[in-house]
Amino acid sequence: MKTTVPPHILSQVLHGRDPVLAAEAARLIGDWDLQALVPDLVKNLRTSRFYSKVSSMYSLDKLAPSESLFLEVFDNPNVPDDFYWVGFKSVKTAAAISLMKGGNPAGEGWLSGLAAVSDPVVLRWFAPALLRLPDTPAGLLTLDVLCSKDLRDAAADTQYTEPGQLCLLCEALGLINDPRASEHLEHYAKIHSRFVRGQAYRSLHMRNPKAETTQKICDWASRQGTDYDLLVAAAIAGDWPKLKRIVKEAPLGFDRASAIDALPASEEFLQVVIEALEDNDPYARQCAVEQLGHFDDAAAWGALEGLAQRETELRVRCALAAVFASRGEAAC
Amino acid sequence: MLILGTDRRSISPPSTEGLTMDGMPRRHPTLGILDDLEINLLLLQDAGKSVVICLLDWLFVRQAEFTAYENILQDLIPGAELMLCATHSHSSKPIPFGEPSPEAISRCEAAGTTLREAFAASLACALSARVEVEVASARIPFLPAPGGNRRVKLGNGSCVSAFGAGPILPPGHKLAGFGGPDAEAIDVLAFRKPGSVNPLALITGYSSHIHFYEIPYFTGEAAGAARLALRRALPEVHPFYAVSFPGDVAQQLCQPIPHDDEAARIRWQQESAQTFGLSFAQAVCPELENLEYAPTKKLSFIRHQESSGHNEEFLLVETLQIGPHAVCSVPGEMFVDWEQAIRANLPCASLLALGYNASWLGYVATPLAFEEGSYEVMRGPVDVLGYPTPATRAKSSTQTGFQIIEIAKNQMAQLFPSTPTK
Repeated sequence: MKTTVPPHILSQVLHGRDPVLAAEAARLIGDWDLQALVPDLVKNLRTSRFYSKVSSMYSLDKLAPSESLFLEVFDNPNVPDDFYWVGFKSVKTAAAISLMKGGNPAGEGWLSGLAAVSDPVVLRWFAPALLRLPDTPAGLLTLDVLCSKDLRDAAADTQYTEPGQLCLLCEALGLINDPRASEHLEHYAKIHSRFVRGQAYRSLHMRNPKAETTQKICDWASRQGTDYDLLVAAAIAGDWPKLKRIVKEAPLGFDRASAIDALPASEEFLQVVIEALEDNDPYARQCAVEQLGHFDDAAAWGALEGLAQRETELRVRCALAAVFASRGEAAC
Repeated sequence: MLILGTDRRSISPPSTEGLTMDGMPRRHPTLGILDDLEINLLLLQDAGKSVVICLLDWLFVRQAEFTAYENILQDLIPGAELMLCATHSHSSKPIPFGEPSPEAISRCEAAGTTLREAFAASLACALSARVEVEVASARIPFLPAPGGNRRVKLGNGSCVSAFGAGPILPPGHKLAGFGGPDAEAIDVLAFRKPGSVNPLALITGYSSHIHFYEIPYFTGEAAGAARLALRRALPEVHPFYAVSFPGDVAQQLCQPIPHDDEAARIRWQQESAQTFGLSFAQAVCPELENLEYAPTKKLSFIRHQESSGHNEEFLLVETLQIGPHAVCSVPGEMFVDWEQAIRANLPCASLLALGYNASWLGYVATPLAFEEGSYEVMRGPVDVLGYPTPATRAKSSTQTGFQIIEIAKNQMAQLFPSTPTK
């Protein structure tokens, strides 16, 4: 069943035409520590014209940070310049942050320039990454800067208030060193998007991991009643029976996948994750594969080998290739 | 017996100096006309009933323009009904580049005049060239789908837009997949003279945006390329191209722009449009041999029109019955999920949808999509966020899609009563 064939599928997909799968292949290479594929990440970062090639940069950050390569991308992102939108700026910003992680301040001026014009790339999309830097440039992302385009401000530009960006804002608010952030998060924990609410729950709990916070989150989630609200709250509260129920019964594949992701890698949940390999949603199967890859258990690896024989979705095959390759084996 | 007349003509602006095109920002004024913008007009008549389907290579049609065209139509054919839709070309509607000069404003006004004159002339030509026809329909698989869903779901549940060159990706997040389905079929309604082999006119409908990037030329974009490819393959056929439910679908992901210099970008746009046009024609043409035509006498029409109560927008849904076939005109940019909803339990043999009618409600998303986010939904939903400022241009709510589908289904139920809709 198992062979020593290298995981070609990851490099094929990484250099393929689907930018979503390519970015996932790059992430898997980084998450599963596949050093042998570092040259593929470098090639992808240099040659791909897709904005999502930054996934290769994030994995290189983990596996083999290269100041000269990141500087090269910062100077020449080699992606189409959508000058009125965020794609080009996002690649340059990702490179600036990777450089700053390594202590190179070449991108600071670029980031300050974006912050000065309240650009959503800095105020939203990369705000959590900037706040996670050991030395976030002083004054770049204060709470007042972050919330200058708040949803509650009627004059706020809609570009800053759509749920995708609010999720990132809530992630950032969980990291910022300002007690007023919790007030903003409580507001976002009640708005119209379950995904913004979910991130607000996580960030609120991160800021204040006490029983009363957990209870408040569970109450809010229960009132909203969507599976997504409930699974995030259940993960925070450690309500594993509820999470297992969502893995098995939620009508939306994404909710089942998120619940699988939220389960701890514990033997108690091994069977439910093995069963999730049969889920009809490819992303849910992918999450199950990555979960099982963390188990050191014959049943888990037997189930993964079985799936490797029949799986046809590239997304799942990539995950299988990554987890097997991390053990020095090949699955696909 | 069903009578058909058609016409097409250029609606390119007479003068383009100092202009650019509405729909997306441009770095430079336009360089001119790459290929002609067109009006394609089809007149159907039966037993005193007249209906005009008019497709414009234009960004969108507003209520005032719709009224102006209706007035022209009533002058020529009293009592006739109008289905007026745009292709949503982002390289069509001229606006002044930069600070508007009086000359540039005048050129834009001239373009509007050209459009109305072309409509009147097309109508007159269609009237003078009418023939008896039979009708047939088909829904043709279009795989691999050039129109791919352009919303990508992150691991945190939100969606990001992926037009241009793929999605942006913040650090620490997975890409969970696409936010909705692709556009996997082309709808065709064909008209031929009784006994002829090939059709005389062909209305096609496909659910995808037609633009690739901010090209500095006036052009019919993918719609123009598809019509051109069909004309080359079938010189005797008058092809029409309608955009059906394109809200979250685009063709831009088929290939990222390969180089940064402007000449290469223009070449890429042309090649992408031509590639799409060819594959469109290759999908459609072989299926025309299998069409089963039938004569029809039934031509009926229902219009629903109401004020939306905001921003002077109105809600317009129209359904035309041509024998056993339905043609619906729907507002704005409806997400492709709504196509699946409207097709459930159809009471007729076929449905062809014409998007971008004169009801400009912006993107009409599903309730879940409003929660997920992305460019398309950032202005709404208005039932939750209200109408904060005119600048936000919020128009549709979480219920708008349901409302439109219900109206269209009710119209079909009235027109096709023998098969009740569920």
